[in-house]
Amino acid sequence: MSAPQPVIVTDEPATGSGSGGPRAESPAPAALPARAKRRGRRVPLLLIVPTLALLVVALGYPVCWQLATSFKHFGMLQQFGQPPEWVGLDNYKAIVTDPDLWAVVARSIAFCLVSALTTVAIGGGLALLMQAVGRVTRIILQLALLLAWAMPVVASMTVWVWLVDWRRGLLNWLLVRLGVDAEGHNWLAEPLSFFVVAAVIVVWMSVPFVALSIYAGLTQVSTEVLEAAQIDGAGGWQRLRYIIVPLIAPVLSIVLLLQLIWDLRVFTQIKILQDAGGVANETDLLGTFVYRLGTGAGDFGTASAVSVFMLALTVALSWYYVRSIMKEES
Amino acid sequence: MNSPSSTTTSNRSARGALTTLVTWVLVLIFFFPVFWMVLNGFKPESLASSVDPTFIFKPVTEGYQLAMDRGMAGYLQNSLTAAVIATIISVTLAIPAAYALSIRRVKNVENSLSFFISTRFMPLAAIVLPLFMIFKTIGLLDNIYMLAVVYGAMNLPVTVWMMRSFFLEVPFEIIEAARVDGAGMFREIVRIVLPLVLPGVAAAALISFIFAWNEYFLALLLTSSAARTTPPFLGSFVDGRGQFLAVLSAAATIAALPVIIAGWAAQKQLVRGLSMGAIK
Repeated sequence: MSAPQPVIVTDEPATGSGSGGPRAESPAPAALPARAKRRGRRVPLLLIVPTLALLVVALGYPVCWQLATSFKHFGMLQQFGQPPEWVGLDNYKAIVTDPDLWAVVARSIAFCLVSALTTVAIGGGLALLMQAVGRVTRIILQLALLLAWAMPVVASMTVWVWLVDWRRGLLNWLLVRLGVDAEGHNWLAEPLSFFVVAAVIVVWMSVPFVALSIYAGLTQVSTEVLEAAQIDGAGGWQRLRYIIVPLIAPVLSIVLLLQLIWDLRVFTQIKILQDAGGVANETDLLGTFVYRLGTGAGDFGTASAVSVFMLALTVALSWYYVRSIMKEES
Repeated sequence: MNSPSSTTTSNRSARGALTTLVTWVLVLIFFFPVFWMVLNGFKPESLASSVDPTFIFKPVTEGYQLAMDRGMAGYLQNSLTAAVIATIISVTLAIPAAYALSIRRVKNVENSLSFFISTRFMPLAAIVLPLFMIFKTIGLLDNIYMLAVVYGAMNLPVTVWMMRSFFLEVPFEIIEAARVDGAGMFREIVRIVLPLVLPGVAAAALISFIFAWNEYFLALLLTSSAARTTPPFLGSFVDGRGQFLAVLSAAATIAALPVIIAGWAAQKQLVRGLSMGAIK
């Protein structure tokens, strides 16, 4: 096979190279004997069954449990065996009328939008840069991105917590030397600066994936088209705006959507920053909110209702993604 | 006045120098936290938590010693168990599934596909409480094998999806030739398809391993002591006082090392696998 063919750009944006993956479309050629043909229909199903079974048991069942629990009163007593009481929509009523929840939802959506858009913008810039620089520089950049991506989140969080620490952090040390009065300023104490720090960290961690994906998309843009545009007098900006961006639009939109979904459920970064000195209830996002409700308050009923709400939000977002992938497939 | 051509050339070389400079700054930004972590791990505690950052010092292994004294070996072993079992589960189940979704397509393949894709987006928060309660009821809380099975299941959609895209690139002529020669399906998968997609399988396995090795949220809730993995152990160091920086850095370096080595060794496959849009 020639160039790598990322799934996310299956409908080749480049000029008419639509002969990307034809073999898959003809799975049962007429030449095969009838027996094989019949087996060819039933056996593949058996091949998927174990996978489906595990997913249903490990992911499907918990979701059903969650849905059922969201209609029950399920507190500390129920955790120790008392049968939960059916309360209908009470948990949902409680969360819908809880101003705390709406604050958390609003924060989560704002945080998710800002981080996802920034990530895609920076990732796209990096991808362009990777194309512009020489081979050695590109490989080193890719390696640095890969390192940042592969670092255990908790491990890189420890460095970030140190960077913004109010007594010994590098950030304050640098700012003081630059003449800013930041001595002993705690960036995690204020919700706004807390979220700026969190967004920077989330972006730093997500950019490698986005940059590498977009770069893979860029390599599919045919150079002939770009050269033709250049001969026709299109400047760099024009080529980017009118040729490159439209051609890699499928990658861009899918990467953006994935980021939105992932940033909506961000947990680890927020939890660790809170542990390091954030004011918990003012800095909760959906993930930490559910965690606190479930483990701290032990109120599984309400926590389940919030989870179902979060799941619905994610399904609404990913539905578009699934459909657009399906469209490309057919 | 310069001739137009020489202006463009000097412009271009200036721009080239600028892009190279920008790239190096970015390399630094992405590399620095990793570098600083490794550096801090070799400092004595007093230097690691000093107000002025130190770059030159006499390296000591005090941090590593302390991390090991805190029982890090046990956490690492748990992480390894969970990651290896999860990888084995997801890869062995994903190979036949990916085959059935690419080469020998199941009828209504779109339905199974959208099901796989949608499970990829499941917010962890949406299943963690039920898992907690189920494990508690059957007495398997704090059990590393159960955690491994959950990780395996969570990795499955990603590995299936990734491998499928590699399987799609196997030329159908080769498979057809094997079938004409009378190769059965098992033979066809093991002898013909797998050797061709081995890099893809390796990439999927690696990504699956990395995910399980780094996972924090589920490990935090579903394990407490016997089955605790490395990420929650690292997380327990982070507090509001910023102590134990050297120990923490040393421990984090040990935790990151296998992933970084694997990532370095399989760089090409990983970049390719990442661009398959299948990770995280």
